[in-house]
Amino acid sequence: MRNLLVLFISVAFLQGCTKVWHTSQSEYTAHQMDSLAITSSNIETLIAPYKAELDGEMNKVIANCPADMPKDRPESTLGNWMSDVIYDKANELSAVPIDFAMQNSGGIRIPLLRQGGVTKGKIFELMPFDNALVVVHLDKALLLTFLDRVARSGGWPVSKNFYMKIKESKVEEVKIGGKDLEDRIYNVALPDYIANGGSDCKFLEGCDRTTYPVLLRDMFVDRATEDKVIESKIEGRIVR
Amino acid sequence: MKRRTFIRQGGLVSFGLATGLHNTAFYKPKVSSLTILHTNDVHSRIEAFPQDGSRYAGLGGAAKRAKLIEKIRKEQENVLLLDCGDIFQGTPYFNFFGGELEFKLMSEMKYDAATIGNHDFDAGIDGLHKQMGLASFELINCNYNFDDTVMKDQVKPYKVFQKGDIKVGVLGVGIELDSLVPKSLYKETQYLDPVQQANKYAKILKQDLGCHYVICLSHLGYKYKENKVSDHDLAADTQNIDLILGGHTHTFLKTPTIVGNKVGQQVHINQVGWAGIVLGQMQVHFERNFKNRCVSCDPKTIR
Repeated sequence: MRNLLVLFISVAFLQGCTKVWHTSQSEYTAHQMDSLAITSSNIETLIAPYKAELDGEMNKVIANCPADMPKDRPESTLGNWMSDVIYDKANELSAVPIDFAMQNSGGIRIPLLRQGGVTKGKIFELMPFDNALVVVHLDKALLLTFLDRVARSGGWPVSKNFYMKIKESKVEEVKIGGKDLEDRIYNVALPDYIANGGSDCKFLEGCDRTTYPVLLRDMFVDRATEDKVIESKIEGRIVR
Repeated sequence: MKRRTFIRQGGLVSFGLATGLHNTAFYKPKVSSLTILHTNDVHSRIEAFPQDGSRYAGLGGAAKRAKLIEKIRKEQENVLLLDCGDIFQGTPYFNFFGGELEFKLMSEMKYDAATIGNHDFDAGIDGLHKQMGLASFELINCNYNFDDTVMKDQVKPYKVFQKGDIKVGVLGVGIELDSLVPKSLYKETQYLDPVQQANKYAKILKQDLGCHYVICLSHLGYKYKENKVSDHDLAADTQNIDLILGGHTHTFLKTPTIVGNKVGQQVHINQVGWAGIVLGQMQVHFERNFKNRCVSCDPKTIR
């Protein structure tokens, strides 16, 4: 009995003696890195050679643009060139033939590609987003939903192989590969931004698709570098 | 000059004596403080956003962050600097130099650890591996199995940091790569359940290795409408984790969110948006006292 009491007391004593680190309180500060903040010269020194090389690379002229190429609706030379580049690359990568390529107007970030030398930096300005290529496989009904959305905004940049007439912001006539719409699956090359529901295309979110790890910007840079010229024609791809 | 030093030292001694007496008289417990600095989704934002009138014009930039970190290190003794992934991709710096400068700058700022985001695979797992030699910080993840890849043995499931009196365990979890990252990039990296893995390693850190505080670096995302594992799920379905620092969803939080874990204890979740616009600073205070006794504690946090 006495032993038990001793044991009890010592256990209680030992337990009471155990000191541990408790977390007591915490505070949080979100430091915003605003334009007035002081900079570290060490870091600036580290960045400098990369920045110089990058600026040098960005200022490199990769192609010539023989005539001003504006961004416009329902169709524009700049939009046609970009869409054709996407169409050709998608066809090269895809196991199934691509019906057409489209992108949102908002995806073109400059109002005009000026006549003259085009730098790599200009292509980054034209397409600053890291949009990758997605080929969506749409049935006729979903394709029409998509084209309705495009018609509502007065036309989006589209590739060759496509014709659409818009009347009062609605689809009046569509021909793909010169043919009326059929009851089949259409393979449409898009920026992932659109395929993932961006620019009011929520209805595309769950659709059947193939994703390619290729940035649209890289396609434009590669193609301009290869062709050494950036040009296109107005062909009546989308008319109002 | 000498005399002045002497006086100052003398002053310190008597101050020390006074607090010593005070301690014994009132059993004032020993305290300690830990400073946790963190970023996520910096996305190769080496320079501040350009001054072009856009939403984040002038914000961010490694040179500013480094200066602030330097200042905080001068003021605080126990600093941990952590990143929650997506270090790569977003500016031409990554397209041109493959993440080289990102890792160099983080090493210069003396980051302690980072976890891996989905975009850190954007130059392929080989591209990530190529930059490893430049990282003086640890890459931490416990739910990607890299055994059949070039990253084998390059990533640790956790790391323990002794910061003054406080032993801090840091583990990391990443998002499911399938359908988010092309397989050609992540190759044979195997994704394991982040909740199960985090639970397993948090237990090792807290119970076996005696860490006083466990931080999980996460690139799962803050919270989802759809059924997809998030930091909220991670907090609620695990134990032994005190703080989840997150990323992926580019969520700006005014203050950390507090969630109850599996056994009802508090877990803090925080995230600082993206692009290095914000540097987060969690200041965690500790008190050494008897079990179940803590003078300065919020009663809910006593463990």
